[in-house]
Amino acid sequence: MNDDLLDHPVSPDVERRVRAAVREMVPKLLPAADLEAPVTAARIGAAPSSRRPRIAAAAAALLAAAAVIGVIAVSATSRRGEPGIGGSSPVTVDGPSATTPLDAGPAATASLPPVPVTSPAAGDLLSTVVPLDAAPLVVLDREGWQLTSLTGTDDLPTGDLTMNRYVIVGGAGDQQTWFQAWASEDPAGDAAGAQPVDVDGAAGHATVRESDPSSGLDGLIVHLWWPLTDGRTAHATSLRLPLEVTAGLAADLDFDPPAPPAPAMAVPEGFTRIEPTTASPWLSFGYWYGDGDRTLELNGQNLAAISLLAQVGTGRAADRPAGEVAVTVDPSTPDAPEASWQLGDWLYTARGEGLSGEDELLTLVHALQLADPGTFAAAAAPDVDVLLPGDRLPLVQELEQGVLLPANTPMVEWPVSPVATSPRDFAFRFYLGLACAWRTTWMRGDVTAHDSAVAGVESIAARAEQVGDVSPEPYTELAGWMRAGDTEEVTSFGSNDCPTWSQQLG
Amino acid sequence: MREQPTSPVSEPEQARGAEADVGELFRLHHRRLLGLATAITLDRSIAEEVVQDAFVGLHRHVADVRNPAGYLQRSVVNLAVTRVRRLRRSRSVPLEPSAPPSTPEIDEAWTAVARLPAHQRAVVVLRYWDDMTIDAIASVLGRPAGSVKSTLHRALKRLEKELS
Repeated sequence: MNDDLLDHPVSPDVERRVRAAVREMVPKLLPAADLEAPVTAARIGAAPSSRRPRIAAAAAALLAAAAVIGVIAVSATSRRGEPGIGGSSPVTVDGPSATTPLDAGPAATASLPPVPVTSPAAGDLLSTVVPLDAAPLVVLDREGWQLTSLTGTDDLPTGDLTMNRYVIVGGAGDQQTWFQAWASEDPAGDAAGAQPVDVDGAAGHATVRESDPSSGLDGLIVHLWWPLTDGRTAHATSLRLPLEVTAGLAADLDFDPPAPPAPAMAVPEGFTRIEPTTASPWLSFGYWYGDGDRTLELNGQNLAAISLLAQVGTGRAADRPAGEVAVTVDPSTPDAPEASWQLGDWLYTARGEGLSGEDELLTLVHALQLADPGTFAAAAAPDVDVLLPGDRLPLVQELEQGVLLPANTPMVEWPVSPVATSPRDFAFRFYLGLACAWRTTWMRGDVTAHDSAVAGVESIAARAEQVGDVSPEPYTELAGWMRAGDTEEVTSFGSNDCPTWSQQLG
Repeated sequence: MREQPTSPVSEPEQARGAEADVGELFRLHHRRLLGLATAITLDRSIAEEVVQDAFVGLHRHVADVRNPAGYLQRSVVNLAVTRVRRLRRSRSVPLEPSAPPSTPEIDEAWTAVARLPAHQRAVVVLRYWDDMTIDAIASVLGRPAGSVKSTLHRALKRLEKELS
C-alpha cells in the first residue's frame, strides 16, 4: 500500500494488478522500435547527454502543426440524403428569430463576396503550380479508387507560429532560404560551444551546422543570439544563409518597432516576408482515397517556406529522389511509404497503406490529378459528402438555426473559404468555434454574461447532434462547468483546438 | 506550483536552453511521451499527433518555458485527455486498447484501466508506469496534490469494483 493513499484505502491487490498491467501493456502499445529503448533512458528528468540546435524538432513541430490541423477529426461518416448536414438542397431560413446573434452583431447573410476558387482545374498535381490562396481539388485517376474522406481548413495552427517573429524567405523550391528573428525575455545565458559574432556592436554568439542529417537537406542552419539593451535576448535562425549574411540581416532588425511584439526591418531585396496572421490564409487539406484494400492519404499545406523548414529534422531520410518527389520511408512504419514534395507555395505529402511498396506509391502519386469541383465531388464514394467552398452558406445557415450566437459574429465570412471539406467536419469546427467564443464571453463577463454564455452553449448542445451529427456531450459538460463556476475547466475547454476565428468573438 | 523534484534542465541551461534544446528534448523524450499519450488515448496515431502538438506548443513558447521537459509532459497529458474527450463525442464506438493479449489477469486489469475516464487513466499511468509520486504528478499537471490524490483514489476504487 503506498503512503500517499493512506487516507483513501484501496486494496493492495488492486494496486498490484494495476501496476503490473500498466507496466506490461503500455510498452506493447508502442511500435517495436520503441520497445528497444528503455523507458528510463527517456524519462523526464534525465539530463541531456549532448546538445544541438533546436531547429530539428522545432521544424518537426511546425510540420506537425499544419499536418495535425489538416487531419483532425477526419473520419467523417456524413450521410448523404439523410436529414441533417450535407444535404444538397438549399436550406430555407425561417427568419431573424431563428438565429440569435447577441449584441446585434452583423447578421446579414444575403450577400456574399465571391468564393475565391482559383486553383487549376486540370493537370498533374506533380507538375502544376497551385496558387497560394486556393487549395487544389485532387482526384486519384485510377480505376476503382474513390475519395473516401476529406478535411480542410483555413485556420492558422494553434495560436500562431509567427506572430512574435519576423520571417522572410528567399528563392524557391529546395533551395529556398529562410530567416526568422524574435526576442525572448531571458538573458543570453550559456554560450559554450558557440562562436562569438558581432551583431551591430553587440556581443552575440552563433552555432552553425552544415546540413540536417536527419532530413537529408543540404544547407547551412544558423542559430544566432545576442543581448539587447533592454535585457532581452534577440534570436535569429536561418536556413541556407551564411553566418555573415545572417548576422548582417540581424543587424538591421529593429527590436523596438512601433507595433511590437515582433521585430521588424525593411524587407531585403530578394526576400519575401511571411505574415500568416495577416496575409494569405494558412490552408491545409487532407484527402483519403481507397479501392477497398489500399489507401492513399494526400495532405497539402501552403506557405511552403514554413513547410520547407518543417522538413528539417523530421527524423526520416530522403532516400529516393524521383524528379521533384522525394520518397521517404518511416522506419517505424515500413508498410506505409511516404512521398513528399514541394511545388510553388505548396508542400504535399502522400502516404500509402496496403501498397506493395514505394514503386506502387509513386505510381499512385503520378495519377493524382487536379479537378474541377464537379469532377472532385463525383469522385467521392457514395457514402461520402463533399462540402465545396461555394456550398457553405446554406450549411452555415442551417447550423445557426436555433443557436444563440456570440457577439461580433461575422456571419458572412464563414462560408468563404478556399478549401473543400466534409459537412460534418465543418459542423464540428463551427460549433466548437462558437462554444470557444462563449467560453471567452464567460471568462470576461459578469453574471449577465455568464448567463448568456451558459444559454449559448446549451443552445449548441441542443442543436449540434440534431443538425450537425456532432455529439452534444462536450457542450453539455461545458455548460455544467459554467454553471458551477469551475473556472479551471471552463478555461481549459477547447484549449489548442479552438478555431482562429473564434478568438474574435464573444 | 512546485517545480518537479528532479528538474531536467539546470538554471544556466534554461536561459539559452529553452531555445537550444528542443531537438534534444525530442530525441530524448519522444518515445516516452508517445507511450504516455498512447496509454491515455489508446490510439497510437492520435498519440503521435498529441506528442507533435506538444512540441508545437513548446516551440511557440520555447523562449518562456523554464522547464521544457515538464512542459512537454503536461502538454501531452492535457492534449491527450482533451483529444479523448473530443473523440468520445465524435465516435459511436468507444476507443479500445489494441495491445497484444497477455495473461488473463493482466488483460482484465488493463481492460479496466482502459475503461477509465481519460483524466483518471492519465493519473494512473503517471503513477504506475512512471512511478511518480502524488506531488510529482501534481507538479506535472499543475493541480493541487489533493486533487490528484482524489482522482487516483476514484480511479482505483473504480478499478477495484471492476476487478472484484
